[in-house]
Amino acid sequence: MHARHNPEHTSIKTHVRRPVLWTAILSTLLISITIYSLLTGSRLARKYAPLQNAAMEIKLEATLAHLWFEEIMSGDRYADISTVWKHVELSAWYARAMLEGGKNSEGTYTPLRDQALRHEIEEVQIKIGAYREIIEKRWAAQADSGIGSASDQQFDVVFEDLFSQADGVETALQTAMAKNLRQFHILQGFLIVLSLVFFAIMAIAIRYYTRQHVLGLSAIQENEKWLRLSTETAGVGIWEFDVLNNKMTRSQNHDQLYGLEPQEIWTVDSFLNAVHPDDRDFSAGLIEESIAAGGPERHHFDYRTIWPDKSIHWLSLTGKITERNSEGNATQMRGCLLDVTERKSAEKNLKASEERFRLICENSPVLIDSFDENGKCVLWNKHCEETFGWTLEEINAHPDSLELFYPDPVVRAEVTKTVTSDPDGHFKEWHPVTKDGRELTIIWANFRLPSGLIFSLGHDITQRKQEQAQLQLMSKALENSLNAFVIVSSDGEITYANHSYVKLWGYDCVEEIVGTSADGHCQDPALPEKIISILQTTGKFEGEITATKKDGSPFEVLMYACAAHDNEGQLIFPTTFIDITERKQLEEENKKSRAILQKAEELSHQGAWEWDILSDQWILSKNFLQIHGCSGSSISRDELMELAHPDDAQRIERSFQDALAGKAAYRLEHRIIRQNDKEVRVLHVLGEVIRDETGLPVRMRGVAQDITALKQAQQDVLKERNRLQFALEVSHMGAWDLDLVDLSSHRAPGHDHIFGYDNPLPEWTYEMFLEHVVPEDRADIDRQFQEALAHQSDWNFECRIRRPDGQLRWIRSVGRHGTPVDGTVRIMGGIVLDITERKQAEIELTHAHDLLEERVEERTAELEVRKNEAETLNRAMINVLGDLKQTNLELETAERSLLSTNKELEAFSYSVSHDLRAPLRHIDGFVGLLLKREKQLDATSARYLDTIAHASGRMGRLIDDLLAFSRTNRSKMRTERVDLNNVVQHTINDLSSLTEGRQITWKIGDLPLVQADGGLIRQVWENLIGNAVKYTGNREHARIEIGTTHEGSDAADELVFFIQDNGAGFDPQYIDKLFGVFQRLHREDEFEGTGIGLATVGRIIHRHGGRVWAEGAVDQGATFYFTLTAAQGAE
Amino acid sequence: MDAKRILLVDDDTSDVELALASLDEHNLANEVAVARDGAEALDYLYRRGSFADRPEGNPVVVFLDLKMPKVDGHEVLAQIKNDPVLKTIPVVVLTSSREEQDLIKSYSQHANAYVVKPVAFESFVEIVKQLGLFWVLTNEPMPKS
Repeated sequence: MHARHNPEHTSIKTHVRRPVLWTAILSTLLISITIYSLLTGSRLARKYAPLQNAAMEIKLEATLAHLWFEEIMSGDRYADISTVWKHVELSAWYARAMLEGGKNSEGTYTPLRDQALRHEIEEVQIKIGAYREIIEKRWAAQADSGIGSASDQQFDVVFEDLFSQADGVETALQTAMAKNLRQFHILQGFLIVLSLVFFAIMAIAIRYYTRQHVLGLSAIQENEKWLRLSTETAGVGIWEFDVLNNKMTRSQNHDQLYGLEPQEIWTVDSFLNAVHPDDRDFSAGLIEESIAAGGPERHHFDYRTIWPDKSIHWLSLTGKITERNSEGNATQMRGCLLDVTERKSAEKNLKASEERFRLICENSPVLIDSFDENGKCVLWNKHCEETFGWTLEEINAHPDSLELFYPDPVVRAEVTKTVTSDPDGHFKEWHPVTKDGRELTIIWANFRLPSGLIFSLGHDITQRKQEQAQLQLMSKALENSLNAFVIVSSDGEITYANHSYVKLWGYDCVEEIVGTSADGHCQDPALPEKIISILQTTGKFEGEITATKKDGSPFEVLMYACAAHDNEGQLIFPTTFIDITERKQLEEENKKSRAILQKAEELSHQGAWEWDILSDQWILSKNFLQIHGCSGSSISRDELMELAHPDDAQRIERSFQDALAGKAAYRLEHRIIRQNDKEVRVLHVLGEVIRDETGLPVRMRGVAQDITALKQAQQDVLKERNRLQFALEVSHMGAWDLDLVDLSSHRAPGHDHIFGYDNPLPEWTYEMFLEHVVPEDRADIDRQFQEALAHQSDWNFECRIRRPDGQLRWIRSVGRHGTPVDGTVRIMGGIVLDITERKQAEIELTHAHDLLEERVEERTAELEVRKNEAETLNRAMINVLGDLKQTNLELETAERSLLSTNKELEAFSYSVSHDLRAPLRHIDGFVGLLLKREKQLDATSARYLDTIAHASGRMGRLIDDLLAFSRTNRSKMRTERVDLNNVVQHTINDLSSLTEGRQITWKIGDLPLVQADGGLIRQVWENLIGNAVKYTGNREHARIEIGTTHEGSDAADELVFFIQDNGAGFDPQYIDKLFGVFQRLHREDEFEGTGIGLATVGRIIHRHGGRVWAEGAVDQGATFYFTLTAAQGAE
Repeated sequence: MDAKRILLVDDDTSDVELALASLDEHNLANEVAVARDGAEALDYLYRRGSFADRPEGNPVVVFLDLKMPKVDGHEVLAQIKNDPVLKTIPVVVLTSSREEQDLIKSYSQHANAYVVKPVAFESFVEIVKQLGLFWVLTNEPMPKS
């Protein structure tokens, strides 16, 4: 394309245009001035000439008027005055025309503008006026005014005046005209000079610019030449695109860039055709975009072109919009074109090279990273990412990426320093942390690239460090191991020995050993060689050997050796020794322990057992076999099971299976029948199952203990406990235990009943007890309690209590401290008894005693009733006392709490026995004294006193009876075969004192042999037969039948005995009281009795395991039944 | 006035009365000093408290009940038998208790005799009488130093 204009051309053009403009302006000016001067000249001519004319006309007309008037005056008759007027008028008309403009045949008159002149002319008009007046005046006075008259003279003067005035105007006009002409001439002269000057300048200017123009063109041409040269040299083509005409003007080399000869025409299509087909679309698009309104002002893109020789070249096009139309569309663009094939090729090579480098960096097992001067990470290879866990993005996302690796600010500062100051490229060890918090050991080297990038290379040596440390640790451990350790070379020389080895072998230092032969370290010098040969073939050796110390003394060691290779590939034998001297000793001691254990088993009646399930082998301790009464040294499981009691066998087996299945522990009590003496023994067996890792049972082991004696003792205790319970129940006593620590308590059922509660309370404390005590007694009772605590003495008191229903009762209680176990008494045990009746009796007794002398008669009977009641109670206590005493003795081996309770009961009974005797003695004593003193008593008084003495005696007997009763209860049962026929007969004989004088029909059946305690059963018959005799006392014909019956028999060997009488009988309503202690169904005055007999019967029969019952009705007699077990073999 | 030859220690007034009645039959009642409990007994023996002014000299026998308030018979017995001066005085335990434990304990404490008070009046009179006669008249006391 050819550049027709360039900035310089524009300048030149501008320079040429300017003088032309100037020239035009000046020419116009000149012409204007010229025209103006011509016009001015013409105006002067047109204006001043008629005015001068007019001035002359005024004079002329005035003169004519003068002449004519003079004529007329002079008498010319022909002359008309009107002519005079006409001339005057004309003169006035001219004056007016001069002022106001006007036209007539003479010319056109323009009004005067000069004020001075106009004023002159107005003077003229006035003078014309005056002229006309004077004419008229003269005219009017024609006759008077002849020539030479005064009016004629005045006429002349006015005329003269007018004339001179008009003349003055004419002169002034002439002057003004002359003046204007002069000015006109001056102006014209100036114009002429001006034109001359102008033309001179024009000539100079035109000449100058013409010259410049020529110079400019040559410069442009020169420029164009240089431009072409430079663009051609640089391979830059230049173009201009006329969008509207789709025409491109190009520099010469432009087309060559497409490999073409210079073309005639070049359009967009030509361009697109030249573009490589693959680049065509985007090129066309870019051009379109540039042209469109709002498109970019500049565009630049690279594309390929295919030369006619098929070679492909890269072109780079740069364009700029130079013109846009009013719609904003480009109408002209210009630009240049450059062949960039070589650059592209270089870029490609560079890219490939970069890619290779990147691949190396990425995949190198070396840590490679690079940071730019702003601390931004630009390279972070895969190995880095794998090692540290951070990705490039994560690092760059962090404000101070180093912090990720070096959380410690001090270390971080150090790192920053080595990186930023002057990276020296030396490897240095660092300990960065990874994303997951591990600390690594890395050696890093930093380099500064010429571009300013910091380039770092690193290597992770963490594992190597750890391995080194571990190796050192192991070596240290080996060195300090308690086990002796040596390394022996293949020729039997010791190359290494640790501290323990030196010590074990009795040497002083390693140097003594290393380098010597191992032969000297064993009892058998040939042994090392033998072991080496084994190691060479099998690689391993393990065994006990006898080693030799430095001083030659032998000792036992366990040795483990193996074959290995050292760094140089030499065969070596690392060997460990364990000193087993102590172990040997332990084994010996273990043997002794076993013997002791066996002894212990024997003493505790225990035997150990173990069952190897897999081999079904039973290992039984000697004592185990003894417990089972086995004489042999072992026994099979089947044999063992045969020894189990048949009733327990199934239970044992079940428990055993449950234990194996892991359902329950193996722990049970069962009976066995001993093998040797067939005795039944009770065993307590424990066992545990030993399982392997999978939970399969592999072994079972445990112990068996013979607890027969213990069981027996337990049963005895239980029996005694029941007995005690019974004693408490029948005596309506309440037993209690008080915990001295928290003052809580345990009570037997009767206890709460005494305090007025039908059902046992959930809880009972000392405070609750105190609340029941009436307020008057409370402080005293508490003081006694505190004293008892302080002195550890018995707490023995009587007091009044208030039951919940408001009833006031007397109670008596005795408490005693439990036997201290560890030096501290923690429990107080005791009993409580309702003594209201006794107390009342006592009170009244005392009262009665005071009044005895004066009112003994009426009081005696009542006293006796009261006394009997007291007696009854007291006897009950004595009974209990007996029981408790016995129980205490029997329960000595029983549980401590029970023992404690018994002791308290004993204490109580002691107190009762002491106190009971005193009042009895007093009654009897004072009656005795009274009898001695009153010699003259009347018969009745004497009888009364006798009765009192008798009663006290009876009470003494009652005490004795009760003691006897309780003794029978306590005594050991000795069962034997008893012939009841003998017993009954003897009893009847013994009662002869009672039956004497009475008519009694005895009917006695044949009685069988029974299994019973002879003494006790004799007492049964004594009581029953005695009762029968007693209660038939008021029958004239007593009939007593004794025999056996089958009614009510429960078992085959149970025999039912009966005794029937026709006596007083009893009310069946009270049948349940019949066998109770102190229960009587008849008054004392009817039948004497203590109320103990049937209770004794009942208890004896119960002790024999039998039952007792009765049938009867008032006055219908009574039948008593009881059962006993038939004697074995008796029939 | 000489000291009484019998010291009767009993808290029960009735018993005391009966005992005195019994001894009176042999005119021994005047020989009896009565202590109403263990504390008084010891006061008497040591001549202190209310007995500070009693004539010098110890009784020839002490009849001692066991069950008494304050200081009981066992304590009095122990006190007497542990005292070098008093221990020579014979002590007869006179009690209602026939309990074995009391017997054992008393003899262990060197009681010189153990007598159970009988219930029957006649027996009681008889026994007390015999005791009085025996210890006061029959028995030779420790010579006075």
